[in-house]
Amino acid sequence: MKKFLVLLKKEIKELITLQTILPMIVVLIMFSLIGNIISKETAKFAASQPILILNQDTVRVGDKISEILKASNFKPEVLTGIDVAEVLDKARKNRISSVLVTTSNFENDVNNFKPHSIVIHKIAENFSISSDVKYSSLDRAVSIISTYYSNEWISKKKTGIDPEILKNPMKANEFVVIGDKTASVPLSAVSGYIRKQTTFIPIILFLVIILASQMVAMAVAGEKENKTFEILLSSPINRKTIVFAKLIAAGLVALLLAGVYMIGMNSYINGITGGITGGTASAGDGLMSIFSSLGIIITPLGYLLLGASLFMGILVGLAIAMILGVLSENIKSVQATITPLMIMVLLPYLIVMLLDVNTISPILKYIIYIIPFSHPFLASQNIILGNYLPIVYGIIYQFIVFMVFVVIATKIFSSDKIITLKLNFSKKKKI
Amino acid sequence: MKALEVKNLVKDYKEVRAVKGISFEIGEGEIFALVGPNGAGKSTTLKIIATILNPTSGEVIIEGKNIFGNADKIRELISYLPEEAGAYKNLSGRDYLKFMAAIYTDDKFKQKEYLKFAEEISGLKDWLKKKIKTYSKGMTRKLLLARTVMSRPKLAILDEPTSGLDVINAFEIRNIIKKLASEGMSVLLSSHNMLEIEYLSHRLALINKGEIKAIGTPQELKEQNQAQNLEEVFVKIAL
Repeated sequence: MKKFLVLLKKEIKELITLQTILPMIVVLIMFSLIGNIISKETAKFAASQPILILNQDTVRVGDKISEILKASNFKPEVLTGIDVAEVLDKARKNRISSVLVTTSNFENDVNNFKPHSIVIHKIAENFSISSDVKYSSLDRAVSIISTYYSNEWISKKKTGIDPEILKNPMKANEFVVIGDKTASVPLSAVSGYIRKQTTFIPIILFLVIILASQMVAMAVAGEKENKTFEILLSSPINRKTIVFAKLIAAGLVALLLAGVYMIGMNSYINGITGGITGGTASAGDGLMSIFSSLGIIITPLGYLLLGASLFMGILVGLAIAMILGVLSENIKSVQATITPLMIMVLLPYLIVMLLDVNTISPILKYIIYIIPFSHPFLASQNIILGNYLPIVYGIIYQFIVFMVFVVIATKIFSSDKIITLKLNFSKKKKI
Repeated sequence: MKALEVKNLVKDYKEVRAVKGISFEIGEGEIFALVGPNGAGKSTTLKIIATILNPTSGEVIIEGKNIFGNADKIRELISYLPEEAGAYKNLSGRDYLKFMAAIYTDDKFKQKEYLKFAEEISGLKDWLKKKIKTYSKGMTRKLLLARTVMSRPKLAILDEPTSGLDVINAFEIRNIIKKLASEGMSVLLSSHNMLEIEYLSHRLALINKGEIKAIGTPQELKEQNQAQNLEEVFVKIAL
């Protein structure tokens, strides 16, 4: 045990270098900074949007439209007696992107139940995602005005009847059924909540497995490249101890790196989603009690099982990467050697993220189940629905796969294959 | 008891027989050299004795223990310095020696003793506080030699111990080896440097194409081959 700790300490010291720490700090700062900026920008768009209204009809029209838009959290400014070019110039100077023109005959057409066109100008300065939110606010303004007059027309023609009833005589009272539990809540709210809870799990998993695999493969290939392996292998230390020290050290450093990346990415993605969706996916207290009644709140047992599945996925990745590291002649060739492992992680990641595993073809389904890295991805969905048994089976399967690869790795380390095995990716030199 | 007995050692790499049934032995405190051209099978033999490679057949007995099934125990008795060895670049020289001392013994007192001895042998002084990546080739080699002998192994296996070193560094390393052998450490070394072999070794084996062609003291081999020096002996036998 003492030798294991000595070796573990050495492995960690070798892995944590300025080259690993510096990108980690840069990524953390960069993601946090971008997330913060996006969050502030999107919050700005969520606030009252300024809109210039050039009224070319009666004063009443300008006042009315201004009143309608103010009620819907817009900041309208009505202008009269100037031409469109002047209004656009004012908008540009004041960095206002929305201009609405109510042309003459607006009031007349509206009073005579005639459709009327209003002119809108979107002053485009850039084409980022956040700008889309800003520009779409003008469409929303037109829709609000149109709805207002539609309701007014219905009220005039059918006095005493709520226009909403006439427009939507049927309303769905939506129930969501999960297992044997039912609750009156829109499915979109449920799926939004679930997505919010589980978005990061596959990303964390994907990052950790890839990072840990690279670390351990580089730790082995580095020993070969730096010619330190033969001294280590001839020293009085058990080969199993070498295998486990490298596995655990790479796992710990990769977890640290992934943790840092995730903190940064969390801030970044929260900046985007929090602003753009206006927090629609976040659930209030009422919704939380509904989600709880549906059993879609992650329990401590769920977290424990997910953690175990994730940990086993990392261990399997490490054991395979260790063998692949033996095949690598040097650190440069590690990327090429571990490509099959990356594909094995990427495939279930994409399939589980994009498709419903229950409805895909049986062959693809079995392939997904055979790949040991699929199980944590599947577990991230199953914990929400409280399906714990498949997670347990997945963990058992992952453990078996892990043991098989550890036995293979230990056998390789105990034989002279550790020295003689290698894949050569370099081009043969021409004479 | 013999420090090392090698009997009919054979090593095959797929179709190629690199070592063809060689036998030799080393007594306690003896410096024994394997001399031969490139690809003669010297390094393969050394790696088998260092428990890194498995032989195809034959026996290797160190301090009365056969390496088959006793590799873990054998590793406590030996210490191996490969020809192109490196050290962990991100560790300081001192941390590297501390790490290796802790690998050889759990006893803290002994670890300190090993470290003190290695620091003395290396002669690197303040450089030991610096990271190994800042060391010259000669400094790294001295550090590695200090690592090899710090635990005072029964058998030190040195593959080209002074390879690539300048005259002064090579001279210092040879003296260290000679001194430790006089204190009872057995040494198995390989070298291309005939002057070094003549200066260091008590006995040597001339190896070519996986076979031992001649074995004896430098004086015996010179007399048998009517040669002025070992280089002449080597050329006569190799050709």
